[in-house]
Amino acid sequence: MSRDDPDSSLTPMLCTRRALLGGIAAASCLAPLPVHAQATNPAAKLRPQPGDQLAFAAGERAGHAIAPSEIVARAEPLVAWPRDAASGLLRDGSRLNQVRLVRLDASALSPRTAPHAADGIVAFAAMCSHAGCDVSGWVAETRELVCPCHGSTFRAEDGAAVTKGPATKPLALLPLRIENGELRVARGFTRKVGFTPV
Amino acid sequence: MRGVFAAVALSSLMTGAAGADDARPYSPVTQARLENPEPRNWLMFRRTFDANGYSPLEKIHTRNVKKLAPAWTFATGLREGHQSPPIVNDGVMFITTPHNHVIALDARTGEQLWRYERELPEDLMQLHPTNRGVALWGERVYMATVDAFLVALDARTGEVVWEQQIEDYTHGYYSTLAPLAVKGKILVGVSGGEMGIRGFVAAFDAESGELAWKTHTIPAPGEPGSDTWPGDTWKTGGVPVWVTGAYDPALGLTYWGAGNGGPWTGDTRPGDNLYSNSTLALDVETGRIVAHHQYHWNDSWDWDEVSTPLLIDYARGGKTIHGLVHPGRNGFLWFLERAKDRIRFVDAQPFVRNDVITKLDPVTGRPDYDLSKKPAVGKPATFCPSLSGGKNWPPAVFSPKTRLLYIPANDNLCATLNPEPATYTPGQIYTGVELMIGSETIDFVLHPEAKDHIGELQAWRVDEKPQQVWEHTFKQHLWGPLLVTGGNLVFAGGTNDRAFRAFDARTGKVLWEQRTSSGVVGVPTTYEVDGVQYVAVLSGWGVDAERIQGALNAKLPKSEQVSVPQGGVLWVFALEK
Repeated sequence: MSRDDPDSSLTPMLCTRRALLGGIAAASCLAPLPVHAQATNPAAKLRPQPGDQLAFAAGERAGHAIAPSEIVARAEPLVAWPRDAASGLLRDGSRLNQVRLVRLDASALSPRTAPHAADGIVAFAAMCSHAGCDVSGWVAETRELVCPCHGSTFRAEDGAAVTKGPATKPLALLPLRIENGELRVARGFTRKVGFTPV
Repeated sequence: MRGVFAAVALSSLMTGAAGADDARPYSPVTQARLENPEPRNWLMFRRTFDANGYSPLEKIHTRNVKKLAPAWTFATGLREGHQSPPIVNDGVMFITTPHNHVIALDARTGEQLWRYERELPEDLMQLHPTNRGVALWGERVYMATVDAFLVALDARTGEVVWEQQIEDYTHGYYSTLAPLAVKGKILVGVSGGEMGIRGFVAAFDAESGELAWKTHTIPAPGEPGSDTWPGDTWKTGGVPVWVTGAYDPALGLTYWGAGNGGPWTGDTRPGDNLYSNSTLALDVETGRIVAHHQYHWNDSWDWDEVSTPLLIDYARGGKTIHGLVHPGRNGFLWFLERAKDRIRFVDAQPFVRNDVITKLDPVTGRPDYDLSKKPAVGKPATFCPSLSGGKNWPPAVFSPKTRLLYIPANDNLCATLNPEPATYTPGQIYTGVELMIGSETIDFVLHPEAKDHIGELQAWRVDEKPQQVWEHTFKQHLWGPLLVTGGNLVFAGGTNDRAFRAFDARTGKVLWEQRTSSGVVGVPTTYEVDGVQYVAVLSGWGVDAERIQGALNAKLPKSEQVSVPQGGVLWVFALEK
């Protein structure tokens, strides 16, 4: 999906006072359709906010909120954007906002991962802490995230700590919670996202 | 085109002794000086427009080089690949670093005069965190940046005079090369062949920063050569330009190497894909493509022929040919003829093992391929040399004294590509293979002879029948840019033992070596201040050398695996008194 492709933008659901009062469109208002960011919208560039949903970044359901049950154990990480729950606005205005979601064995999580997980689901910044490439690789056997540009690897179960450089710093985690059966952002990123400038 | 940004240090941090040293003399750089540089100076990436990398200085020579010792050092405080040549103009030195810092130093004492630090955008992705140096013109210093800007600094103070966007980094464009200053223009190229860019060379007015011309390395529909790209593949076909060009003042032509097409395997873009893997001759005034020579068509091996050919006049049949000499990433040593309106193939031969090219057309030099060695989606293939090539970007050098060409080569290293279909997303990897060597899509294969060696420093006679005269081998790979001097010395680092060495240019004998702080992937230079000759080089392992080391470590027994420490340090040597 291209952010620059106008056809990929879905029409926002307008949540008018009339609709709210009438109650007919209330369900749509509570679960609005995704609004793809315009480059000029500062809210789309805002880092993930507590209460944000997580939405598919690609595929047929791009832009739609991800339910906890859709993150399957032993599957490849799922690429997601945070999404403002009220407006449906995708925070896809900056690469720094993209995350990868995996479901891990909750009993295997170290104290560096466990407080940020929700029912074993963990969100990692998609951008490498070394030089800013997308951390697109995954080794299922060792639960390591891999940056293909320079080969850095990170242990998912242990706070995304570096297991092989050149990266010197862990990936940021995005703390999650499950609220009324929905996956939500609990707090902001655990550390600054992006490359190390030294 | 975007406007020129105001001359304020908006996106930079500038430190140093600006103002305090206003009285320090600075010699303005002119076209005449660039065409005929004083022997004491090193004013551009390869010192001279012919890209020979030769200095006539000879106070340090084969008989006294064993007395070479560190005169001073300077820590940059940064990690990653430090590749820039120390460029020296009458006692003032300029180096660049990863993350686009420029540092001006007193070339005699090592005193820091000023430092410019670019503030890079936080969402930047740096596939190659490096920079290969500055260009000098007038009283300004020019750097192309990894977020695709050209920055002009005041050579005396480091203050930003202007900055101009070259292209949009969010679409995968970036620059790592040293710009080329010619006749009041600053020429640059763009990297990003792995991210679906459409490559180009652009010239900016040195004074104002306004774009003078921009010449794409992939023709648009209707332009000559556009029929070599099917459909819309020309829009995202790569063909980057990331090594500084050469220039022939007599012809008014500037020569640039254009890289490989994208995605990496040619089945995704059937055709010759002009001007991928070519040398382009451009009219320096207009940017018009006057001539080209394509080394190999429809590249499928990441043999990115970005290195600029050396302008060397060599002999064939008793006659002098005004030539272009290119030790290719494809492992062939190419001899061409340069003229006002054409580039003519003369001859070529392999300098490392190549099992893909089966023969060359004797007139045009166009290669035939063993198609079983040409990978495609669903059709993996193993081939030699590897994707990192027989010779990568580290520059070769030519000495007019020995009449020998010196090549930093790698042999006995082959590769397998098993590409997958690629989908273009702006600013994302668009190669069809994962870039991490050792994955299912890409791997190295050691030839049995790799047990003996991989790296080779080769010396070739260029006149009449080209022939290898000597070779020095290294157990593992060689990533050393070269310097050759009038003292008949070839200087090279590039090995994972952190050494920087001097070789006898006539015999290849190692005459001197110094273990440095990190691995040396910087371009060495030499210069003279107050009658003393210095040799300078940045030690700072990283980028591709580190990537290949990681891939080799995965193949080698533990006893042969090497981890090279990072961190940039400039080493400056002089003879002990």
